[in-house]
Amino acid sequence: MKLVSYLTATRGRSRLHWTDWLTYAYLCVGLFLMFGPVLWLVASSFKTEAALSEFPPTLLPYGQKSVMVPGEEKPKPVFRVKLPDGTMKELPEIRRIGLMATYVDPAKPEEPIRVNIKDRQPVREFRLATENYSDLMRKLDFGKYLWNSVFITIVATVITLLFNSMAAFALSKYQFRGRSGVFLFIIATLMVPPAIVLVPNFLVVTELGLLNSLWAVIWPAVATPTGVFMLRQYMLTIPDELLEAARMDHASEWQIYWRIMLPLSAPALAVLAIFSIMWRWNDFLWPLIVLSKAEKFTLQLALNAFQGDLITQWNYLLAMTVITLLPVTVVFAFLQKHITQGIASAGVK
Amino acid sequence: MASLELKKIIKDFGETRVIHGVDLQVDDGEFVVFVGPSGCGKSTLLRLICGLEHASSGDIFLEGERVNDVRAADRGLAMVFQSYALYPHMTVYQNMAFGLENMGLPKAAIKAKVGEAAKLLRLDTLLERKPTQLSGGQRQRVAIGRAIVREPKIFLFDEPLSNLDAELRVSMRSEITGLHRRLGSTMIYVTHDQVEAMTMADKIVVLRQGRIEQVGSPLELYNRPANRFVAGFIGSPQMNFLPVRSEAGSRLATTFGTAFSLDIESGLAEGKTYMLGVRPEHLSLEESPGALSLALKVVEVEQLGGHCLIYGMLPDGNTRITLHCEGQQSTQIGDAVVVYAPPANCHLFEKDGEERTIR
Amino acid sequence: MNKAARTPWYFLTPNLVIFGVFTFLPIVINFYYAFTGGVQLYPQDRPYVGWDNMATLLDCKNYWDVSTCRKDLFWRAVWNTAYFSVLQVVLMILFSLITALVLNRKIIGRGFWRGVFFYPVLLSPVVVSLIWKWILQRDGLLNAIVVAIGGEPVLWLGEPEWAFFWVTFVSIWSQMGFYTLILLSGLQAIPADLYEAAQMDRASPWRTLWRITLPLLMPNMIVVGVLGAIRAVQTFDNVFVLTGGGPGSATMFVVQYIYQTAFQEQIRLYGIAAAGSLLLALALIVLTLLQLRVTKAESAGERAK
Ligand SMILES: Nc1ncnc2c1ncn2[C@@H]1O[C@H](COP(=O)(O)OP(=O)(O)O)[C@@H](O)[C@H]1O
Ligand SMILES: [Mg+2]
Repeated sequence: MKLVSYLTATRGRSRLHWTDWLTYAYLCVGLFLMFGPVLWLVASSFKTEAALSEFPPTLLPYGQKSVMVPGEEKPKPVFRVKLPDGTMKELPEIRRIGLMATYVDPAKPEEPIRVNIKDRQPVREFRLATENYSDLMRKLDFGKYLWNSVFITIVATVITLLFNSMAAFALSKYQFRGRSGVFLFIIATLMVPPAIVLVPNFLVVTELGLLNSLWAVIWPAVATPTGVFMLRQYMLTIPDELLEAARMDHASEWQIYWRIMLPLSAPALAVLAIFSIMWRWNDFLWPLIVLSKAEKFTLQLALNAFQGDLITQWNYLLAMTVITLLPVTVVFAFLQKHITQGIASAGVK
Repeated sequence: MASLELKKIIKDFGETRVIHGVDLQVDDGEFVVFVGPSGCGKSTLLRLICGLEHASSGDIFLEGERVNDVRAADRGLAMVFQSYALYPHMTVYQNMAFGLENMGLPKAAIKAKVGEAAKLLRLDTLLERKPTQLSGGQRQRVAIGRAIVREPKIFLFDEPLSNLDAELRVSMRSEITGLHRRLGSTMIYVTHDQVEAMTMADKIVVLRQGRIEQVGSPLELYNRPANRFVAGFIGSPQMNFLPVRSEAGSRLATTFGTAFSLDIESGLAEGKTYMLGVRPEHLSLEESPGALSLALKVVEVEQLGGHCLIYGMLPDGNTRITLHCEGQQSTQIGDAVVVYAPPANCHLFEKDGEERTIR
Repeated sequence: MNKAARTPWYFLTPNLVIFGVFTFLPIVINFYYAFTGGVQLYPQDRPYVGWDNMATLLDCKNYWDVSTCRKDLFWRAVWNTAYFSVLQVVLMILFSLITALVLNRKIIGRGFWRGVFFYPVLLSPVVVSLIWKWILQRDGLLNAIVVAIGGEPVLWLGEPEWAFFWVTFVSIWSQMGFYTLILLSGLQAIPADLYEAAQMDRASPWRTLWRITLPLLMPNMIVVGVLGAIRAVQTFDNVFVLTGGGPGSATMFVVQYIYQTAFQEQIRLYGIAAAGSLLLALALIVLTLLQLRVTKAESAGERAK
C-alpha cells in the first residue's frame, strides 16, 4: 500500500501534494472513460427516434414539445413562430402544406394563422422517451428473450452449484484410488476453452436432440472446472473433525454433504453463483451456434440479431441494451465488494 | 455403559507404524485416561476404538463382541473432539439434536433428551445460540452435551480441555469427573497433561511411541513407576535423576564422592552404573539418618508463597536438581546448600535398555 | 468395490458425465473431424482425408505474405490475432499497472474507484460492443466531439486501421479492470516494512518503484500477461458484434474464422474448422504450459517472501 502511504507520509499536512492531484485527475479520467459510455447509452436510450438521428446529438434527451388542441385528436407539436406582425410566439401547429403551416392560438382558436415554415423553430423540452421501453414489450418478443436468458441463467447456476459442490466434496473429503487422477482430469479441462471444440460439441448437441433447446446452452456449461477447483480449495479448509462428528451422529454421506458441507461452504458457493450468473447471462458464441430459431434467442442473441438488421432501429436497440446490462449493474452495485474480493482470491473469470 | 477390550492392535499409516500391538482392558464404569507426550498415538488409539480409523491388525471387543467391522456410528460410542467440532451453522439445540434426528427419534423425545442434557450442563438458556456466540467453556459443554444425549456405551474425549485457559481447565476438569460420577458411564479420556491424568483417572494408561508403558491407578504410577520414562512423566515438577555406581555391600556412590546404601532385594552387580531417581518433594534440607547428601549450588529460586522450588547444580556441573520445600525459604541464588535424599523414597533404574525400575 | 469406496464416485458422477460428454468426447471427435472431409455433419458420412485439411490450411508459399496462401483468410486471421494479442496484452498490462498503482495509493473511497474500473468487466461482450458502436458510429458522440473541435468526421469502424485500433481499445476497456484487480492484490501482498526499509535507505519514490515494487510484482505481471494472452488469442464476441470482422477482413480473428467456416458459410467445411481448432489449441497449450511454469515459479517466490 504502501508505496504511497510512504510517499505522502513525509508531507503529512492536510495540503495535497501534486502527486495526489495527479492521482485524482487520473481517477476522474477513469471515471469518465469507464462510466461515460454507459451513461451516454442510458441517456440515448431515452431519446426519440428523431432525436437519435440528429447530428450533433444533444447531451440529454429532448423531444419536441406538444400540446392538445381543442377539436384535434392527437397532441400537436409546438413551434416558436414569427407572426406577421413581427412578434414571436409559441404556438401549436395544426397542419402544414408545402411551405406554409397553420397555427392556432389556444386563446383564440377561431383565428388560424398561416406562416411560412422558414419563420418557425421547433420548441423543445426535456422529455424521456419511455415509449422505447414500453414498445419493446409489445412490438418485439422481448419478453420471450428475457425469459430465455433468465431461465438459462438460473437453471444453469443451480445445476452448476449442485454438481460442482458434489464433485468438490468428493475430491476434498474422501481418500480414494484415482482421486488425484480425477482432479488432474478436471483441471486439464480448464485448458480446453469452448472455442476449440465448437464443431464436435455441435455434433454432440445435435445427436442428443438438444438443438434449438435452451438445455443445449445449459448442459455443456454446468460442469465448470473453475467451480470445482474453487469449491474444493474452500472445502479443504473445513475441518475433517466436523464430518467425523456428523458420521458419529449417524448422518449418511449425503446428509453430511447436504446438511454440513453445503451450509458451511456458503461463502464459496456465493462467489461461484455470482460467477455463474455472469457467465451464463453474458454467454454469446455457444448460444449463437445452437440457438438459431428466433423464439429461442437469449437477450445477447437478440441484441446481436437486432443490430445486424439492415435498418437498425437504434431507439429500441439502445433500450434493449440498457435492460440487458441492468441486472449485472444492480448485482454489482450491491455485491461489489464480494465480487472483487472473490475474483481477486480465485484469480479467475 | 460397557467394557472394552483391545487385543494386539496395530495401526500403520502407509509405511509408518503408529501403534505397536496394544493390549488393553477397560472395565465397565471406569474413567480411563490415556496420557503420553504429543505424537505418541493417543488420538490414533482413541479413533481406532471409536471406529474413525481401521486397525491394521488386532481385535477390538465391545461388551464382548468384536466390532472391528462395525461402522463408527453403529458402535454406540460418543466422541468429544479436541476442537469440539460443533456445527457452526446450527444452534446449540440443533447441534445436540442432529444425531438423534438422524436416528429417526420422534421430535418430542428429542426435545426431552436435549432439554435434560442441557439442564445437566447448565446450557438451558443458551439453546438458541450459535457456537460462535459461546465462550470456550460453553462450547466445551455443548460438545459434551452432544455426546450425552446419545446415551453412548462409552464416552471418548480427545484432549477436550486443551483449548481452554488454565482456570477454566481446572473447573471443567471437576465438571467432567462430576459427570462421570453422576452418569456412571465408561469414559476414555486422552490428554498429554499428566496433572489432568492424575486428578481425573481411575486408571491411567501411559503411552510412548505407540506402545503402552504402564497401566495403573494414579498412585500406583506415582509410587511404583515401571520405568524411568513413567517416573519422569508422572509427577510435577519432574523427578530428579542422577547417575550412581554400585559398590560393594549394596552401597551406591555418586560421581562426585558421596555414597549411601540402598536396600535392594535382588542385590546389585558391583561396578555398574544406574540412574537414581528422587522426586523434588522427597528431598529435604534437614539431615536424616542414612540419607544421601547432595551439595548444591543454587541457580534459581521460585517463591510461590505456600511452597518454594529451589534449583541447584550438583558438583559435577551438569546435573540439575529440583527441590520442593514447604513454606518460604531465605535461600538466594549462588548459595551453597546441602539436601538429603532419604533411602526410603529413592528409586533406582537401569541405565540402559528399557530403563526398567529396580526399586 | 465395497460401499464406502464407491461413495465418492456417486458424488463425482454428475460432473464427470458432463465433462465426458461435453468436453472429453468433443476433443476426440474434433480429431476425427480434422482428419475427415466433406460437408456432412455426421461422422459416418465423412470420408477420411488424412492430413489434407491441415495441409490446406498450412499451404502457403510465403507465410509473411497472406495472399500467397491457399486459405488466405485463415492466415489473415492468424496474423490479425497475433498482432492483436501482442498489442492488446502489452497495452493492457501497462494500463492495469498504472491503475493498480494509483488505486494502491492512499485515496479516499478506494472501494468505489476499484469498482469504477472493474464495472465494464461484468458487462457482456455484446453490450460492450453496442455501447461503443453507438459512440463510434458516423453520427455518434465521438464524431460530434471531433466536429466540435473543428475536425472532419471519421468512419471509425469503416477504415481498417481505425477499426483495428477500436477493437483493441474496446477489449482493453472491457477487461483491464480484472487484471487491475490481480495486480492490486499483488501490490497489497508486498510487505509494508520493505517500503519502510527503503525509506530508511533514503530511496527516492522512483527508485522505490523500480527497485522494490516492480520486481516484487513481476510474478503477478507475468501471470496477468499469460492469462491475458490466452484470452486474447480466443477473442471473438466483442469483435464479432463491433465490426463483424470488417471492414473487409481487417479485424477477422481465428475463432471467428472457425465459426464462419463451420457455421456461417453455405458450404460448411467442418474438417477445415476442426483443423483450425487444433492449431488454435496448440497455441493455447503452449500458453497454458507457460502459465503453469510461471505459477509454479510464483508460488516458489511466495514461499520465499
Ligand atoms: N492420518 C495420518 N496419516 C499419517 N500419519 C498419521 C496420521 N494420523 C496420525 N499420524 C501419525 O501418527 C502419530 C500419532 O499421532 P496421534 O495419535 O495424533 O498423536 P497424539 O498422541 O498426539 O494424539 C504421529 O506421529 C502422527 O504423525
Ligand atoms: Mg492428539
